[in-house]
Amino acid sequence: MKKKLWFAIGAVILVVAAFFIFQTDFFSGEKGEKEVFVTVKDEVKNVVLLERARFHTDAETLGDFLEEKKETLGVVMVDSEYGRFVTTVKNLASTDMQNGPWWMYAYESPSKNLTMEVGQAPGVDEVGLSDQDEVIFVFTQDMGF
Amino acid sequence: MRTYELTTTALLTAVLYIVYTMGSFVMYVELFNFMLVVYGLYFKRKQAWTATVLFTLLLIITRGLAPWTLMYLLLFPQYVLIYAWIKKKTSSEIVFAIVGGMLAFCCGTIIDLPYILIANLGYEALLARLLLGFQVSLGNLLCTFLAVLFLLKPLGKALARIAPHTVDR
Repeated sequence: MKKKLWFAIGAVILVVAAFFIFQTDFFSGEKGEKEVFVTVKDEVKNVVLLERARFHTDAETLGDFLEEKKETLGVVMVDSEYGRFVTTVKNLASTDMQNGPWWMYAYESPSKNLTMEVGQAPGVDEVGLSDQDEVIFVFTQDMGF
Repeated sequence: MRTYELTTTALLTAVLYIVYTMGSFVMYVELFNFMLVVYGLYFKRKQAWTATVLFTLLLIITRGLAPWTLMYLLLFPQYVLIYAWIKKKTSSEIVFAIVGGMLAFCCGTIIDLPYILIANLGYEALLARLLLGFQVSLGNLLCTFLAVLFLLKPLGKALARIAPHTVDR
């Protein structure tokens, strides 16, 4: 039993250390004011609802930014085990979570040299915002794969 | 297969589905991989493998045919075969815990492979996706490692008492 306990303690230490090693700067947010761009497309009706609108924000994550601008962008988010989850943008709601259409987004960050197409980006609370970042929300049934 | 073997296989499938569903409510904490270790080590290879295949087919029926459900079908029955093979080589719980933990860590990335290949990600996006995945996989690794270390033996004893004809150890 003692041997097992030592192995368990060792495993916890190793995993905690690895967790910090695997921390990625790709999605860390930039402090202070920044300019970000938002595009909103309804691919079901093939309409662009918002085209590269410019916003100024101090929010460090995309989730906080959406919370801050929820009135302007008509955003509704619900809590999930993966953080907040966007269900409505521009007051257009995803009503059938089983079959879609859903709100998905693409993310582009020139400062991080990072481009993630629709369906590739992680949850809104995991995406840190940097100056000149662009987010494209798409109401679609295509999950990106 | 005899009737009691069929019944046991069906029960094993149901238990696996319940454990999987319970684990899907809490990120980082899951005992699904631990159950695969238990199945591989304590049940006949054919029975454990069949139960795991049935579980993945049940998942395809309930969650839909998608790259990730197909990867479950490809991956997890083979995990059971690996555990069934390892039990012939050693009886060390620490070895079981290390192998179970490592396979639990790998499964997230392996399941993600079709998405990574289809998405044709750039270097930065690929690295970001892998690193984010590793963070979740570390939770799975630790859960599986600790569960095998501390729960495997008591569970094995309980199984041998409840179903002595089924347990294969």
